[in-house]
Amino acid sequence: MILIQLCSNISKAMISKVNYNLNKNTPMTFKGSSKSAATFLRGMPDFTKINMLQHRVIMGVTALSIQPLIDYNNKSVDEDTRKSSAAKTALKIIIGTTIGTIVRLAVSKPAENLFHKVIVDKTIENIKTYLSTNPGISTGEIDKITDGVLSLKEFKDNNPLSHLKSTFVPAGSSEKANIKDVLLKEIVTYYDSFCRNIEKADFDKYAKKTKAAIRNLFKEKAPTCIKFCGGFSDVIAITAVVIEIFTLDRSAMNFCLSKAMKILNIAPKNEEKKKEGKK
Amino acid sequence: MNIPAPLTKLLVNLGSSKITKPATFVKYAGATTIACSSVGFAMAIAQNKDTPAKEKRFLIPQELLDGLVNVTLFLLLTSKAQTLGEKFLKKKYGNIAKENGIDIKVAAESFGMITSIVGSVISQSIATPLVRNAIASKIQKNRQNKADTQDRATKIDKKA
Repeated sequence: MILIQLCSNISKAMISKVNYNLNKNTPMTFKGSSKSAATFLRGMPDFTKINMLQHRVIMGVTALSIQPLIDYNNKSVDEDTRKSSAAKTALKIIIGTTIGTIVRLAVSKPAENLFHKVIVDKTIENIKTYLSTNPGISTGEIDKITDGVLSLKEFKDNNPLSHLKSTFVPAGSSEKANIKDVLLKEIVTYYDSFCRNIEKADFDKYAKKTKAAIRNLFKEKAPTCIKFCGGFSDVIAITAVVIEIFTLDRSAMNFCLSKAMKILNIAPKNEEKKKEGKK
Repeated sequence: MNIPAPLTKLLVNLGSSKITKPATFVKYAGATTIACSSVGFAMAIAQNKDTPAKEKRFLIPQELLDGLVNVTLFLLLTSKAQTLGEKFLKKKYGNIAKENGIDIKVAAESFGMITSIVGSVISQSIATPLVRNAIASKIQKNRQNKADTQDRATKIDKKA
């Protein structure tokens, strides 16, 4: 099941296209012979969506199919060493990939959801605070937007967020992006795009929904916000993986290596007997 | 719950780097886990009672070398592959993207990510085992020779 879910996640990342933040209404006009190249660029999968979990699975599968073969064909050592080396490598990859994947899976998604909830709620709160301290824009307006009760006409005519972009996003801040800049840029871009592109029917569908539904909207519409949460969850996942390597992986490797040495008839039976005799 | 300020700063910086430089983030995160993994597994082999001393003489340096070579090649090849991928796309499609109003930086970032993954697969699964096996077998032979010489010396001493 985990494998199927992972394959599905990887394929989703492959299928999802690069988001150029283009207006949906922009006609796709290509010039002359560049048509196929432009189609290629527009259709390119968004590989930046590949997370640590998917990266680990890709590395694990390729390593398991190649590394033990290289070790088993290493002619510069004797046959016993070759066997134990190939067994050790295969065990290492299987243990590392399996436990690593489970830990990442167990930590990554809950952490992402937690950050997502905190970030979206905090962002809405930040915008409300900003609006309450700036004349000309009432907190009531933002309440209406976040609760999705503003009519389409009001939303289009009085979009209070469209002119906040320059205030929230200082020029050249992309390199040193901090949490507020990135998220506010995202929320402003999202609302801008939302106002420009949304159809009446769609708006009515969203209008009845509450803050929880707005949060779900972010999941669908705001890729950077999701990436940000993904970034945090990856940091948490890596920390968990490092702890797991020195505890679970080490114990599992020790146990499996003992079994493998016995199966391969390499385990030092005589030496053990001598040690026991000495004791 | 209040998180200490330096930890928050570190978390924000690391989390932000996933957005601003996703390929670089995955690269350094991968290198960290590879390094920790090698040290952890070397410790497991050293503790293992069922692995003969002769095999340990090969397996422990092999594991540590695996980590060292793997991290070095991983960082080197993934960086090169990422840069080459980005440059290739910008050079080949830069003008066409400009003509059609497509942001080539976004496309190059995505392409750089997949070339860096290809680079990491080549470095980890092919280059690393070949290099570390060659070095580890030399270390094993040297250690074996030293052990043999010591054995002979002790046997001669006993006879004497």
